[in-house]
Amino acid sequence: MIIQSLFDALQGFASQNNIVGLIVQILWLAFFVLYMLYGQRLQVKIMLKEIEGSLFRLKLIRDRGREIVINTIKKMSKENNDPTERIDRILEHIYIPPVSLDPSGIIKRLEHLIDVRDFRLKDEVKLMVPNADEAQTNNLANMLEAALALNQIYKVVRHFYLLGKKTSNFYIILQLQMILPQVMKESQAFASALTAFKTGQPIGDGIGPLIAARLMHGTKEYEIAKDTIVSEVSIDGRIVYVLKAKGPGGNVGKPGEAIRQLLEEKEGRVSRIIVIDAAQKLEGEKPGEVVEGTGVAIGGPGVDKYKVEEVATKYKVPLNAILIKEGIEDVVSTMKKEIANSVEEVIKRIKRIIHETTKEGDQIIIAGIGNTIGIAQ
Amino acid sequence: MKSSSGKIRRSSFYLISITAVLIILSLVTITQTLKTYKDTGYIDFLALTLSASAIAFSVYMVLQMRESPLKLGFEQPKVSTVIRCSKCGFETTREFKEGDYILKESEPCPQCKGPTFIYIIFRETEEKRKKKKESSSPI
Repeated sequence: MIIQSLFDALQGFASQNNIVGLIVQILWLAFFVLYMLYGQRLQVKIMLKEIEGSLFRLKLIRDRGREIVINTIKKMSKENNDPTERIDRILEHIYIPPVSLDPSGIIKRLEHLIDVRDFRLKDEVKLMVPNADEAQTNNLANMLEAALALNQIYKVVRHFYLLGKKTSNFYIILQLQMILPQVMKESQAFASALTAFKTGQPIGDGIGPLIAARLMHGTKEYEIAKDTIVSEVSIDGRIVYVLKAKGPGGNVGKPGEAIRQLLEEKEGRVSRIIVIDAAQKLEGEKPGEVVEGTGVAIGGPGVDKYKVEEVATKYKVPLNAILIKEGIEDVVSTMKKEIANSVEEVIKRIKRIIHETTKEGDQIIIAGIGNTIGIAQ
Repeated sequence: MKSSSGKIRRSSFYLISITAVLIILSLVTITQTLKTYKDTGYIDFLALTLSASAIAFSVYMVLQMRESPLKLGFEQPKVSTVIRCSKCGFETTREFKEGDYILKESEPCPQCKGPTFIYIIFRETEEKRKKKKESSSPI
């Protein structure tokens, strides 16, 4: 009905013949001239609208994350203190990296700052939930980290959105729009990380500690470095020192320091170091795919990697890496079936490497790198 | 934490106005072209092409403005816990319960009464969607 009347109106309008035609022509011309002059501005508006939608979603994720942290802490704390103010303060916490103008000794300074930040976060958790055990404290600290990351992502995207809008700078908006899909993927990964940390489920990054846990299962372990345990296992007549972060709380431990101490203890008499870690998969690769490499497969700021490289070079110990491919969305979310299924394949490869490159009686170090949440030993 | 995104909504009115103007102009042009064709038998292909392009552009703008469904990532996935007997290797799978962790001791084995432990905890992946994606990819 409406369409019919609109069509009739248009017909009547058109029947006024050439004058209408002329007006329409002029309007078209005006439109094209305006589009030529303001086309980029229009494009900017469209892009801003798209960014606006993503920003709104980021805000929802950030707020929901904060809400989950507050509710979890309230639930776990037996005292009636409202943690909201403290959590809001923690979520605004800023980490200032060490100065790199004079790179000498930067690793020590970096490690110190990371340790201080880590202790501070755990202290804050203990102040809010004094009755929490070690695993719960670690999980809550991990939750706070994820919520903090969500807050930072939202604020940075909002900054560039407002800056681009304020200055109508096409290039700022274009760059922001280009990286937004990746940013959204990362934010959603942190959102699912919060759910995993809340319930203490193992995450994709925990594949290294999971393999180490399988190897050391049933043997006696001891703490070699802070939050890092080691166990002596026998594989095909070789003495294997398997190490991982101390679980089942969310923890990455200090694998670099642990390997350094082990090597110093053995005065370098170690025939091979095998490092197992999750690695970023490329598009097209399958999650859970296992690949091998040479070098120290330890992510993060580089402190642990540096320590292992330094001590391995000092004693000329060969380094092997076994990597399990994962997408960015799998690393911090609950471990996918395909990733969990790669354990047997990795163990098979470890045995092959040991068999091919070492002889009976040799000492070997195997390190399972990653967050050990939901994985004991 | 205060909300500071008050300035965020405005551009949609601007975009909707442009789209509306474009659609009206295109409709008038098409009607004019039809009328000219009826009166003189002449088809103005240029005007028709312009109108069709304008309508296509408007549709594109509307699609760009369309909101996609909100999925934040907090949705609880289906997580399973596999329990294995250390003696006979018997395995059972159940839904994940809070407090579960890998290598945690569990109830005695229903088959041999031996000690059991949580062997693995994993998230189920959406098989249907994955299969569809895989089959559509030529590489």
